[in-house]
Amino acid sequence: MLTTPTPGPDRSAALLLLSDGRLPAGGYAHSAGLEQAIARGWVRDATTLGDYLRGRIHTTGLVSASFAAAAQHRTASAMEAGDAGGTEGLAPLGAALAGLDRELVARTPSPALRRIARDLGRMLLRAMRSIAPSTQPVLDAAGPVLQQPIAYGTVAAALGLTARDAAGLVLYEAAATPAVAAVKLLSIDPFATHRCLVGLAPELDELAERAAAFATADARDLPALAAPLSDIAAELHTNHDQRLFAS
Amino acid sequence: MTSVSSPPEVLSGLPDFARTDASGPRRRTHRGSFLCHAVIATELRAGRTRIARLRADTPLSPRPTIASGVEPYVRGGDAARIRMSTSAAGPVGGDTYLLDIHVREGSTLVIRDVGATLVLPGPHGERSRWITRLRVDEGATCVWIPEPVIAAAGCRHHHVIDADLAEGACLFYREELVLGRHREEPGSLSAHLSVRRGGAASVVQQLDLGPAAIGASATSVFGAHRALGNVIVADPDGAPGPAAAAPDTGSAVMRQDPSCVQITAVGEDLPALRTRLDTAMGLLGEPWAAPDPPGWSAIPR
Repeated sequence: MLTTPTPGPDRSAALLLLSDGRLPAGGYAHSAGLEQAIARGWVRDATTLGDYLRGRIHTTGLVSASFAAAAQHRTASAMEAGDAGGTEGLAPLGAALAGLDRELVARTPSPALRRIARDLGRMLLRAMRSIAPSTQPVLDAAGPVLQQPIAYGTVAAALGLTARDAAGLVLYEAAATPAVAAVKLLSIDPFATHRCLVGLAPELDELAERAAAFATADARDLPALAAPLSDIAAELHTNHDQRLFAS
Repeated sequence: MTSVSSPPEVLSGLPDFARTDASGPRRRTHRGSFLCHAVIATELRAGRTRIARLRADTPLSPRPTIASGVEPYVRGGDAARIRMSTSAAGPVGGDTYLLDIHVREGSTLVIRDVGATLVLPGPHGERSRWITRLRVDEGATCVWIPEPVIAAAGCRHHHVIDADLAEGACLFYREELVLGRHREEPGSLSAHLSVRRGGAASVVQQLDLGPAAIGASATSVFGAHRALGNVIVADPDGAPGPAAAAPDTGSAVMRQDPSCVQITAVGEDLPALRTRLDTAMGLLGEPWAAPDPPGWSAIPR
């Protein structure tokens, strides 16, 4: 691990809260491209759903998780500096996260996906400001608009979680969001969708370790793995007449 | 394991930009594979574009050519025209091809290929690399339309494009990547594309395709397709075309920022890909595409 472990008790309650699908941060309105993939006949059953999820976590999932880890590291460093030397420590955080945001935007070709990530990021920050007022100074320093993975990293740091926590959380979200949406879009057994998630668990853990290793890396050197069909599907979805999910 | 690798690792052990003196890395690396380093530079002299440097390094051989076909995207008709040819099969596993292109202030370079690039596996199963470092200075234009890169069965190839543009530079780039020859199993291809303008990232992506890339055959990534193409247009006067469009189920026009647009398309084979890329490019309008029916194309066949 590259980040310094948080002193004090284990923060697993905070991690569970943040990864809970019931957190009112808007994630339930999205299928992460799955609705369009089903509409196009690309995903039909549990097997094709499992493949869909595996492709996602190994490309954009890893990228998002790496940016979450990098955002966690930058936020945690700024908080440490803030604790050491008054309010000045938090000041450079906005610029550091804006630099990350610019790099993540360059790795997200689809304007629709960028818009969604920005909206979800904003909703997460708004939710946290309201439900965890103690995070307010950190979130204020982070800036008003952050792509969702970066917002997750910042919120994770504000709650005392590690870069590995942030990366694991974002990767799990990348797989679980479409898996849960599948139940509403396909005639599929909910046990089958969660069987897919359990099957991916070792890969999710391995990818989270790899993403966490990028926490201290320069923003330019973060992974940039693309998923071109997801980009195309996201643009098709914006013009889709009968949609259940926003993405 | 996937072929995932961060760009710094793929870019290790290379000589500095356009530096070809003997103090650089050894040309012949090991087990018969080698590093070859070609350099192209253009500059503006007395109001006209001239070729300032043209260094061939067998098998990478850039050749000056004359204008051919209609080129409305070349402002004022003034440009240096160069075609890349490779005078031997390759790259083959173990090889590193390095191409440095410098389009200096105010000049215009149109660069094409003589033929497709066929990437073959080497005798020892090593990876091959083709790295192009492109610098486009203030007021300069680079139009780069290479022929397809075909990853033959068994290859492990890294194809890296690292473009560094000045704020007022113009770039047109179109790439076509194909997995395997006709009826052949796909090779493994990792394609890195990075376009930075004034140091800020516009487009950064890595496409890992083929058997070595976990999840690449998923319908969230690349599916059962065999060909993938990208078009990048960076224009300081504003990106052409719509902010976003999906002309069909296998292509999308996506504006990255006010001065940069990307087209991505997939295809079951190269002809299908080209049809989609051409259709999507039609949305960009002149000077990149002719109004319908097309009287000319930036990509003459």
